[in-house]
Amino acid sequence: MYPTRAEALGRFMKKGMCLFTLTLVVMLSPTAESQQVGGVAPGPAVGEVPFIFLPSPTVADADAARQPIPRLPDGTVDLTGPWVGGGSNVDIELEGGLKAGELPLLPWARELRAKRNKAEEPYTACLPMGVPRVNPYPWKFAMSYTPKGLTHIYLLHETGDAGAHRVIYMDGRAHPADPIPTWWGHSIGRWEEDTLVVDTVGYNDKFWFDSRGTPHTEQLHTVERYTRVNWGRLRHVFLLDDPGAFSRPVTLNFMARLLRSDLKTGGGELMEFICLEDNQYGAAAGIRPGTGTSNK
Amino acid sequence: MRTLLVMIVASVIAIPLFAQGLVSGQGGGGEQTGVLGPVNALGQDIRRPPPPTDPPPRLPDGTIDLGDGLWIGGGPGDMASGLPPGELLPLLPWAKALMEDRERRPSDDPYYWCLPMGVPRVTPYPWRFVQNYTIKPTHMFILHEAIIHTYRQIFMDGRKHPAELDPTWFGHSIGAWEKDTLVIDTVGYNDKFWFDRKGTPHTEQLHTIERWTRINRGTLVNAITIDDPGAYSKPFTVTFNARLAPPGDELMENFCQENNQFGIAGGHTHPFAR
Repeated sequence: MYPTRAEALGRFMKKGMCLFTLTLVVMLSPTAESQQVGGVAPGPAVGEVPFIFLPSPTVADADAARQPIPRLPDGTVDLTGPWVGGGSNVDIELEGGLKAGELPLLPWARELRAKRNKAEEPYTACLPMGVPRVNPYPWKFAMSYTPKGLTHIYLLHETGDAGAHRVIYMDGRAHPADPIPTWWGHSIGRWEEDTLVVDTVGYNDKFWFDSRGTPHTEQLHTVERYTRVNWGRLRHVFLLDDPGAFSRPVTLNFMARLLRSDLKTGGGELMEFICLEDNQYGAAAGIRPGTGTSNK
Repeated sequence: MRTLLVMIVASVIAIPLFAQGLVSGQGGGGEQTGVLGPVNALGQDIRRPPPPTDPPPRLPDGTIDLGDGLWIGGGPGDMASGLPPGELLPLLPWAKALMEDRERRPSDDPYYWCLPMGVPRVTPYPWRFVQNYTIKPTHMFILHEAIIHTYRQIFMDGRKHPAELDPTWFGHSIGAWEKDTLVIDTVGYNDKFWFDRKGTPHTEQLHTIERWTRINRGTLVNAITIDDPGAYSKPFTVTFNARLAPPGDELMENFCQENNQFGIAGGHTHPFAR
């Protein structure tokens, strides 16, 4: 069920942006907020970038193991979701479980991160947020049902344009030798027992890992490992390998929480959210999105 | 015998479509034809092998599979071109006037501003059906390569439309199979998108019923009933057909908003900023 207008007000507010959110952001400190959403879910942007952040309701810790992990008719784990969190948003270093300063950025990349202005992140201009970023809105796996089995898995984000859809090829193909750099790269997936392993290359260098501006280059190679540890939780172990911007590969840990079916917020479904429809943040505010590391 | 019947049905449906110039695979329908065949979005002539005519594939449960490849076309580039020969769009006077006004301001088409094209419009780019693989398929998605790289959601779990909806670009869609035809019933649209480049309008009262029939492997017919008492004097049905893209084709990444040279960059005023 979709909510009535009145019921949808909460979500409507979540999706808007206006001045009183400054107050809201101050009231909801990042620490308290991220704990509420699971310790690893995205928190509100800080400083001069006030996003409204009313968290999507998720299954509580006490209920996470209350139901069995669903499986497809062939025994494969059903990863559908929708999930909330499970990636970076504000600061990949802290959200990924590292201590401040532990992310092995090369000096130039550290410098670029310090220099980047939050207001110029491409995400605020409704451009795709890239991997492993998530926003405060839910996302889901669409596991395609075909006579040939599971040939593709699509990742759908509630932000229809900034998140859009991402494809993971599950048919055993290899990466192309020379992929054209794109926002979501070229992703191939396989199962290692109950873990979905997604290997991606061919990224452009335009998206930021977080609103802090953590950069990468076109040499980025990522390996995402998704394990549904119980009904309500999805572990994401993220290998970040980019010799262009990092001195060594680094592994980050995230946990996504199952969206709770709540009539006030879409009844457990992804709602329609077109960032470009009325973006008061980007061009309307005179802000031009930043460019990639190649144009530093 | 079954194959023969399918072929006869296919011919009966296809002949009027060809007669109207709605050659499948042409993209938006009713577009230019060049020396080699249909002229595509980039202005080049394209030559394609004929679509396969063998029976459509089925899922393990017997349902027709709509998701084994990419489709091109299946919706309007020009709404009126999908009408039976001789029929006109039953536009109410105000809607006709609006269309004439839009004709003078084609850059107001939200499509050119990287906004969703709504239903049943298609772009010259491919799209696909995805049937979510769960214990019982509960959702279908339609993924578009462009104009924004987004998706449309169809509930297949038997739910009804909610009593009151927030108007959206893709509305609230519920789907069901009637024999081998996928029927998608949608309400809750906003009135912002244009049905086509000509600016064929609608209101928030719009109710669409799409009937998708894969008459053979290579051809998917979409017969859409448009019911919008706010803009039309009576419901009408338009028919478009989609053509299967060659095997191995995949949706490419296309972000209109990345480098749109049409909107602000082209010196135009945003249609919603007037």
